[in-house]
Amino acid sequence: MASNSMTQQELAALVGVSRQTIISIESGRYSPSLELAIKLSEALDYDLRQLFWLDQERKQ
Amino acid sequence: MNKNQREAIVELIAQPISVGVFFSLMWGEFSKPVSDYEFVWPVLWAIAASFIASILATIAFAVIFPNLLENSVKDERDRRIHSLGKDYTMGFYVLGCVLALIFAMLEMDYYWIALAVFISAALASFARSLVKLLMYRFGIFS
Repeated sequence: MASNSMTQQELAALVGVSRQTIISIESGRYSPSLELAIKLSEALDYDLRQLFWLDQERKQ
Repeated sequence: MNKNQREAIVELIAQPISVGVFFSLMWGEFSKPVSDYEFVWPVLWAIAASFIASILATIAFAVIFPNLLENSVKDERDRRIHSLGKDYTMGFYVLGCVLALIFAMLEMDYYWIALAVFISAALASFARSLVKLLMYRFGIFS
């Protein structure tokens, strides 16, 4: 999830969570709240649907 | 590992020690009739042992993992795991209360009532810590 311009630690600090939470989200072990998901999409400048989708959907 | 996981591990260590201290101190009482059991001081010592074990384990963690303090942010994932840990293990407290109520209604000796409450609390605490650590490791159970 962390882009080339941002580390996991930096992203975590930006959205107000721990680095472990970012790692858990990336590995699929944790589904963030809507508020956190929106913060992540804004921090990474991605659309929400580009970052999160349901298991049965296919990412385009 | 973060501070919240450390607290769960400390609790996981402290509870068996507490129960072990209790039954160790009660060992000499088991040859007597139940109504003659002196269980008050073993319970108090067990609670004290739990506190002491928690403090010693916390100190040991601070020495072995000095960088844990850097990871002390309690975010939504920590709050959710903490909350779910309590929810999933609430049944042990309920079981202890129900058993204590049943024992009281059956007018059983105070020892059994105290034992039901003490063991259920220790089991609840142990199970809560275990569930939290498993959720930290494998993800939240839903």
